[in-house]
Formats: sequence, C-alpha cells, structure tokens
Amino acid sequence: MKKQKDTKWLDELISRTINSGKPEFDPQKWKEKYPEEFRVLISSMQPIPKAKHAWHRAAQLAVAAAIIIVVALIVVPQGPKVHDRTQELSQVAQSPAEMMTLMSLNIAYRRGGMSAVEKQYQKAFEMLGPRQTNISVQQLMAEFDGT
Amino acid sequence: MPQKPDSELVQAAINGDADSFTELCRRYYPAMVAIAHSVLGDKHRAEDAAQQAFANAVRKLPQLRKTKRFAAWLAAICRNAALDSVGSREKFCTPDDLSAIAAKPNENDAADAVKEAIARLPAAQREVIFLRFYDGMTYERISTVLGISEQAINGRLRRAKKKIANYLRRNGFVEV
Repeated sequence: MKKQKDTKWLDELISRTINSGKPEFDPQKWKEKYPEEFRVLISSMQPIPKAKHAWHRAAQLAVAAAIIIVVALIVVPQGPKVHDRTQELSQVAQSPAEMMTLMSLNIAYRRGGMSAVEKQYQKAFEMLGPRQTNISVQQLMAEFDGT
Repeated sequence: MPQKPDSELVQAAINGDADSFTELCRRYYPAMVAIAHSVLGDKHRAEDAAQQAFANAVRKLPQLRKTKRFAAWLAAICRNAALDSVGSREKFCTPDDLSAIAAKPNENDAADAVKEAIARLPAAQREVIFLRFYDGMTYERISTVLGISEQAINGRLRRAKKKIANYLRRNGFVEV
C-alpha cells in the first residue's frame, strides 16, 4: 500500500514538474523554416515503390525474352524443305548405289531426318524400276551396284 | 474516423504527398519534443530539435525500409538532432547544476529536486519518464515510439521512479 501511495505522489510531482503543455505542430511555420526540405518532399523524386518496381522488372525481362526468341527465329538459317534437300542429294548422288551409301543416308538424315532418308530410299527404288516379288539379297545388291 | 496507419502515410509521403507527411508530424510532434526535451532540458530548444528531426526525416525517408517502424526510426533521428544541437554530446545537465538542489522541502524546491533527480537518470529511463509524463502517453504509444515492448517500458519506468523517489528521500523530501 505504501508503495502505491509513493507512486501516486511521485506521478503527480513528476507530472507537475515536467508537463508544460502539449506542443502543437505548425506545418506552415515548418515549411517556412525548412523550404528546401519541403521542396524535396513535394518533388516526389523518390524511388518507385517496391511492388511497382518488381512488376516493372518482370515486364522488362519478359520483353527481353520475347525479343531474343524473335531474333533467334529470324537469324537461325532456315534451309530448304526436306523434299528439296532430297532432290539436291539425288542430283549429287547419280546412281541408286550412291544414294544408298552410309554417307549419303547420313547426309539425308542430317538435313531432313527420317522422312528424308525414307524419300531417298523411295527415289532409289524408283530409279531401279519395278522389281519382282521374290528377289534374293544377292540380286538386289547386284542391282544396287549397277552391275 | 479511424486513423490511417503510419505505414500508409509514410508510403504516401515517399510518393510526395505533403499532407500525409504533415499528418505524421502532427501525430508524433509531442513525442519528439518529449524525447528532445529529455536530452536538452529545455522545451523551446526541444521544439527546434523536433522540427529539425522532421527536416532530416524528409531527406532520409527513401532509405526507410520498414515503414511500420516509422515512429521508432523518427525517434532515433530526433535523438540525434537533439544531441547535435548541444554540439558536443553533453548531458542533460552538469554535476554543478545538481549541487544547487534546495534543502528546504517546499513545493518549488520539490519540483527542482525532481528535475535534478530526472537529470541524474540514465538517458533511456529519462526518455521514458518524459514520454509518460509530458503528455500522458499510454504504454502502447510509448512502445510504438521507442520500438520496444510495453513490459520493457514498464520496467524502465519503475526503475526510474524508484531512483527519483530514493533521491528525493535522501534529500529530505517525503511523500505528501
């Protein structure tokens, strides 16, 4: 109880001693006293808020990625179609035997994939003409060799 | 009408809204004057220091990361402004001033003794005393301004008042 009485007495005494009225902020006086700071405040030269900044960066990245993709599509050379390549190859490889060599097939595969290889086979068979149903491997190879 | 949160006002002020900054100044001016007064021991100088703190805050506002802790951040700026205004970081009052304590326990002497007792307190305790008794601030409000828990404030206040009471008793003042 004594402690509570002490506190109350003290509180009143401290309050009377240091409380000299609530100070009021006068914005007009402050502006006059600190014109430069006020100018800085209203000039709004602050950095973009974090959320906006993040969005802005994401948009920049998306645009950059889109540009890179478009440029890559334009710059990467698009060669002639598979059909044309097969034709080109057929022009280089004169006989069916040449067309069936590992090197020719490999070149066809590189240029046009499996469809180009298949076309090259078809071309070679077309050049050889109609075949009988039962044909031995020896006969077939002999025809490939052009003998 | 409910008050806008500090963080909202701070964000608006960062974007150049002077009215929001003015509202923050109005909200924290008494607390800043109390803090500066606890350093300077003079109300007029304390008001100058508080206004200087607001000017410094405008410059530093873009650096403020945690907008919710605006009050504590401003209090730190105000403390430094008050310390800067005394030039060298001298104390609230000198030991010579303390020797002028009156021996007779009348009302005015009691007030002087309380002033001297407050002057002898550590800065953190003196600051809490000023915030609590300058404008009758609540523990919650003091907690916001100083950025510490209400328990910590209660502890500081209790220790400060105990020291003041002991000082007064040692100098012949008794409770009324």
